Amino acid sequence: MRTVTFSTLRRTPAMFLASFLNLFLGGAILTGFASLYETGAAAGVSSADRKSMQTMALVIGGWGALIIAFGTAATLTLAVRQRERQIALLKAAGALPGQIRRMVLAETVTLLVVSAVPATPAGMLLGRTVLAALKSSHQVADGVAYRFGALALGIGFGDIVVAALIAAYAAGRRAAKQSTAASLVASAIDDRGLGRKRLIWAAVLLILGGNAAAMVATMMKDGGYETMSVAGQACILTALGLAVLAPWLIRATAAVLGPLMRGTGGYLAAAELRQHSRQAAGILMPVILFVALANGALYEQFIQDDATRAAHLTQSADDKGVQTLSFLVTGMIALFAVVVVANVAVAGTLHRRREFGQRRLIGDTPGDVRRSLLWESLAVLAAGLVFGTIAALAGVLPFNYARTGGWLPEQGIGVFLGVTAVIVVVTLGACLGAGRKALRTPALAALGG
Amino acid sequence: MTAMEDALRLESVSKTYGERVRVTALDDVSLALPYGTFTAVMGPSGSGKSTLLNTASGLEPADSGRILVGGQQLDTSDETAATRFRRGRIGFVFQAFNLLPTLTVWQNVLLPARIAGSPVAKRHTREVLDRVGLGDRLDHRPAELSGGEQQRVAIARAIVTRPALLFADEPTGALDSARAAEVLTLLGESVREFGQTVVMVTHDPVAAAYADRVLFLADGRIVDELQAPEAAGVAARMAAFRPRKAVA
Repeated sequence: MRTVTFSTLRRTPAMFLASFLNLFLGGAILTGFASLYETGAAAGVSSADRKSMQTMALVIGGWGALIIAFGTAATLTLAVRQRERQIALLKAAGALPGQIRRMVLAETVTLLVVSAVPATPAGMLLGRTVLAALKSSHQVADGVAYRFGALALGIGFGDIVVAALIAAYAAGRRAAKQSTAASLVASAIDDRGLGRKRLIWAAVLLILGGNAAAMVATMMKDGGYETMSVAGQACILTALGLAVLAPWLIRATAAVLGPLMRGTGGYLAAAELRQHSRQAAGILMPVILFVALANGALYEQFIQDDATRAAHLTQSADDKGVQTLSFLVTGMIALFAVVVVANVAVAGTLHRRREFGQRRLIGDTPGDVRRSLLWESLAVLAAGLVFGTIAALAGVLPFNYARTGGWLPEQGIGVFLGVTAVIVVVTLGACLGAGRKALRTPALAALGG
Repeated sequence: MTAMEDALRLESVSKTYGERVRVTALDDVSLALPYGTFTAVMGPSGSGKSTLLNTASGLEPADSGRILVGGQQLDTSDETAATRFRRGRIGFVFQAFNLLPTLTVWQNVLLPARIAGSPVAKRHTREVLDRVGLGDRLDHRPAELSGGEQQRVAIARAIVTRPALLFADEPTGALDSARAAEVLTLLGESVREFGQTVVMVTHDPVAAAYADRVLFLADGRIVDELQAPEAAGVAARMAAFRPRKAVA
């Protein structure tokens, strides 16, 4: 089985590059912030410095860890699902379920090790940059020495390793459990309902998100940056809760938008969304997370800035420093979410070569296929924008209330439009670009894969 | 016999593959298939069967020669042009049934008309589905059907638009012999009852015996043919090729 593992890693470089990029970025971000925690924990650091570094590491590392764990799991699960056919053939050739599980696990561990090598120096660089920013905004004394050791590596990679292994275990178990006959049937339909576990997860996350939102508007009304970080958690938890419901949200979107989707392209797109909702849900999840995170973090920062200005007319250097940091961190995690969206969209679309080949043989021109992909992407984007915005509002509205006494922020929709533009360009670019590439395979050859 | 009377006409069609090592897949092939005929194409692996099907249906451009479907020259200038040409003129049935998993039986069969933007003949579609024995399975999805049933849906989908030509590539390759016999009988009936023209690529002498005529392909040329074939006769001809092929 080891031969299979390594030949798979070599033969399907695009898919593994995507997973690698995910693990690398996530590892760099998390070790970077974990190193701040470690720097703060060193002997000789004043308690005030320790508090500001460790709070930052925990707050950012905390929800960053959630998003990164989620993105890693999503990418790895997809990577295994895409190989259902290969796995089916291995089983038909006599591979035991345990061997399949071990193969998936071995691949994941290989990827983890390979991505940890460049992620470690990248995380060091990130940690140093943040520490320098903290020093220049006088939140940490100049004398504090940067530390990057076992704690940074342990916390930083711990999250990813746990997320990756859970994803690999779950995906491997599912792949191993499916009967060989069933997995050889061409892309069987995906009409499994939402599992009870999924509903429970969604409920827990949404309740926690609602709780954070309520705390911001009530108990933490007069708090400082902690209020902002709890508002951030309200966004993220709500977004994760909605992301867990993604397959159901896709079906609901198809039901609402289906009648508006015109032509054969629209008709096939609506059928695809209804029947293969998990495929589209894979793209919807990171879109929701990106929209919620980027809007939430940016609006909260601007609300904070405006409130500070209103209170003492001028922003201190410290406020500016926090602002810079907040943008840096939001930018990093938003970048991570964008990479996940692009990965999932490209991999998911390339995976559909066979279906596109079938359609071309019964009379779809390449343009027809691209039009139906456009419809699908637009529907996913519409759902992502609606539910991502709902999640962002879960943090932004109570935070605005806590700072200004009014619910609706007055910062205008410029930021929202910017965030929307980014995600629209990335999603459409990834889906349609991959569609174009998938269509380059001759129709008949595409049936073979 | 004029070109107008033929569903498919190949005039000196050649096709080679590869840049350094040239492999001649079709070597100056000419043939004419009149409307309402059932032709099987047989030959050893690498004889050019698949290339014949691909070029004759416009999936791959030929290097030289002319191809006429229903009297009109095939347009392979680009995929969009070739696809538009195929719509309503050429139907396909493959070994792997190739139904869209997200659509029901009824939706799958109506899809080609929908894609081509031509009016949907619901009554005719209903009749065809009844004829293939799936009139009561309209709302099922492919995953809920057996292999034989899926192939019957694929045949219904291919003949419902009344194409000039139906290409079947190893249509029984994935079926047991009882299911295969059903599918082949159905193809034969589509020729006799609906006047369909069928070209079937196969390596199975039993399948070939359902055709009116068998063409034998070897090294990119048509080397022999049999009218009103029987399985034993076809098998004997095929066996006659093998030693030659092996020595070469």
